[in-house]
Amino acid sequence: MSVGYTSILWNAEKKRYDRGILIFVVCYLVAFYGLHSIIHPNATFETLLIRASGILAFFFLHVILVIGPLSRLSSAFLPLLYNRRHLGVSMFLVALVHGIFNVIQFHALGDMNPIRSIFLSNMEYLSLVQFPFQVLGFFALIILGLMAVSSHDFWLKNLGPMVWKKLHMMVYVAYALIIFHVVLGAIQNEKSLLFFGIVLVGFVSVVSLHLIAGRKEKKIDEEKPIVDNGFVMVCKPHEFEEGRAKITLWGERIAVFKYDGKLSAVSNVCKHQGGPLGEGKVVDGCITCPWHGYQYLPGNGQSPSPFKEKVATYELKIQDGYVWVNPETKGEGEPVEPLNLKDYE
Amino acid sequence: MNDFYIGWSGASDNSRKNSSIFFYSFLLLMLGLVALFTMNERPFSDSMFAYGDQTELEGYLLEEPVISLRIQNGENFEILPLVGYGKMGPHAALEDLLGLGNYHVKLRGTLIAHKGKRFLELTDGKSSVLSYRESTEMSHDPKVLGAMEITGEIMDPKCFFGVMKPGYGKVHRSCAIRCISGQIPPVLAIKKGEEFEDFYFLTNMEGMISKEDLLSYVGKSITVNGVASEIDSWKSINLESLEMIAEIPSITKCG
Repeated sequence: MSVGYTSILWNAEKKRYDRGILIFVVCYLVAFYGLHSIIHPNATFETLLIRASGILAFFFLHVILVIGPLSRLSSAFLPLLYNRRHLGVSMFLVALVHGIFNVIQFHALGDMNPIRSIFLSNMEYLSLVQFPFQVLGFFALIILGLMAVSSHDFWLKNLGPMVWKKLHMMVYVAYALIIFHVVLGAIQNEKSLLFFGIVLVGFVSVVSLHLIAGRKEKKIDEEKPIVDNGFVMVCKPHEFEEGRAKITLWGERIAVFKYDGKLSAVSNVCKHQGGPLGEGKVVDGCITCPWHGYQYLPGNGQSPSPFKEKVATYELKIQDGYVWVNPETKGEGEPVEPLNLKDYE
Repeated sequence: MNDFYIGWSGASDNSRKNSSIFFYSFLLLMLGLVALFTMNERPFSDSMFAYGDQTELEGYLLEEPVISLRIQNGENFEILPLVGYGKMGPHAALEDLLGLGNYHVKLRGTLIAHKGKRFLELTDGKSSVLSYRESTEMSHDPKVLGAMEITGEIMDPKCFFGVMKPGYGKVHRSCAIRCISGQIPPVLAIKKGEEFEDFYFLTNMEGMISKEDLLSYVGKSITVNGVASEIDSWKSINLESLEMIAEIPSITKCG
């Protein structure tokens, strides 16, 4: 969390993560150029740079896309999620190298503006096999560029979480464009079916993990809540784990946290990037989002000063040995008296 | 789950251990993919583009079948087709000479070589022409090979013979279109087995095919009829008819 904006938000963990990205890229390039110098000594530097950057960006994009569902399936992946933005920007920079060198190599120094040439050299837009695949890469790069530029919290704040989230969901459009860019492009120059196989495995992995994570979410959504007098049953008081939440669904998900022998209910959706607050933990008296560590006070859903984020709060009661929540919110940041479990022992 | 990660507050030992495992797993996966990729990708051509190393050559400037420099190596003659910088023909560099007479010229440029044939890129534009003088020297008469029908693929020779690797196929198609559009003379490349082994410059195309049609068939197969001729090691075919075969050629080895 940060109360102001800095050009790049670094902390010890992010620095460590970025060092990891840099080491990864260096190891990759050394291996790529080293192996080519042995197996393909006739290869030219610029061709290798185009291929190396394209493959690396494609690989990074897969990692970025699987981090989300992996984190939904296991909290062990949360460190990758916390730092995903830096990987996204790194991926864009690598893709930009790929794009720039492609334009120079295949479209520049001719009788037409290089950018026009991308669209007008190969005009076979009606042919699947001959389709001008570079156009697809161009649009994917534009999307990735918009995402990289707007990845800063300044844009998140100013665009609002909904618009920002929709913009960043465009990564799936970019991914689809890139899949076609690869399949209708570079792979067609290769003889081995292995390349199709690798792309297919990557695609299936991304889709499968999203489906598995989605299925887990769906299970929660499909649970039929018990409702009585406008209140929704959560569970028995002893079923809560200290500092953790039980999630219940009535229209939207509500997270009921236990802390210091008390219960409080807030919206399950973090105001930062829509993270699942109910999978978070109470740390230092604050509900802490598992995605990026945004915090809220359980009693009123407000971020501790000087932060200003607020989530909706809900009224709780104990009846017939069960905890119940009123799904009608008291409003965002509205104080609600916590349910003191000692009163019911 | 008990090891709750909050990035800004520093990671626990367990989180760090997990992160290290992920890092090395992804790195290992990536390195494995690099090895697979390198071992299975199509071999690169042994063509040569002497980038940054210019050569001076002296000889007779030919304008037919394509703009070339004919040089003498001992008792033998060699024709080096000329191309301009980037994706352009040599016309701008030679505009003070073309169509104005017969010239003996001294040129400086970057050599392109493949399959026993050489091109010269006039890298510095007009400055590539170091000297010239009018010449009474006559060009060698081409040897007429006779009427023939041949099927091949239209290529941009500058890239195929050395500047690009690969200089053919789908990936290179836009570049080839730009090169031919920029007046680099198109070549009809004929496959023998899996490799391109025979090459004909296409001449007399005016009236036979529009520039737009020609560009749309770059990288594809055409069958042409015409009278072929040969001068030194280069063949050309003077078109009498041509038929487009709108099929995509199978990927060919770039030997």
